Amino acid sequence: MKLLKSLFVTFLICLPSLTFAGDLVVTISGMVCAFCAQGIEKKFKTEDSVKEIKVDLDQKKISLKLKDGKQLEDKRIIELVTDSGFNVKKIER
Amino acid sequence: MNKMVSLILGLSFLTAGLKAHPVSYKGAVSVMSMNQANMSDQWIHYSLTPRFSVGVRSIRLTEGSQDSWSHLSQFGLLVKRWNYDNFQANIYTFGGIGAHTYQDRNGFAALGGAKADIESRKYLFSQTYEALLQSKAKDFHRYTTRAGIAPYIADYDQLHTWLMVEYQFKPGYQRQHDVLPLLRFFYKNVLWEVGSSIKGEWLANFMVHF
Ligand SMILES: [Cu+2]
Repeated sequence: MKLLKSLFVTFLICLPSLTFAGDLVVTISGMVCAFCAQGIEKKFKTEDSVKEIKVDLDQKKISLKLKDGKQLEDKRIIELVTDSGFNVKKIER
Repeated sequence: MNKMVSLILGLSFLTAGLKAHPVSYKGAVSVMSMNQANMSDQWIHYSLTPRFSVGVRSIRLTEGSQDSWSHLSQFGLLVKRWNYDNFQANIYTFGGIGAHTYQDRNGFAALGGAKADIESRKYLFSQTYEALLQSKAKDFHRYTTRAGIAPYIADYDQLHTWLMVEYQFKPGYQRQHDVLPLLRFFYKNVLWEVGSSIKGEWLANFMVHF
């Protein structure tokens, strides 16, 4: 019973990361400090088309989930990352 | 006359630019509070672009039992940034002008300086020079060297911890040399540091980005 319970809790904890399949992934150079990278999260969160953002410092990537029917152009992504003080290396859709 | 020359030199710094990590992402408001026994330094800056910020700054210098206070309008300029996969390096300049008070006398103050830093997720090194010129009190020059190491690599949304040591050289001041071991923590947009000089005087710094 205890094992079942902990398995369930583990499942719940992992759920967000399992279900987070981003619509696009942006690789960013210079993103080494979480305190500075926080600007990126803030910039994308205020963007109308962005539903969710996940920052991965290990991979130097951000995953973006867009709102239904919304688009986010490469040009705009580059602008947001540059305004945060970093550079875009790759955009995968 | 000497003071005039100093002021002009200080003002000429302004054309070169402003302070250390005072430039953040576009639209960011940065509040910094750095406090030591013999000095305190408060900043509020607004980043107009990721390269340029403007703000206000207040500096207290304590020498013996005397305090001198300077209040300045300041700007910060990111001169150059290198963004690589595993590290980032920056050169900043900063400068400001304002007023100062010392022993009930009021005068002009000007400051300028430069900072270079390089950081990865595990190591950090920075070097800063700044000069504060005060018309009614002696000028202040400070060279600051800082090295840091992160004992563990934290994820984006975890608490980050750094072990650091700072060395300050303040020529002409009672405390010419200061060695300050300190701990840095940050979580999301809030950063704080606690430390002490090897002579046992405290240090507390706080920084937040909005
Ligand atoms: Cu940083």
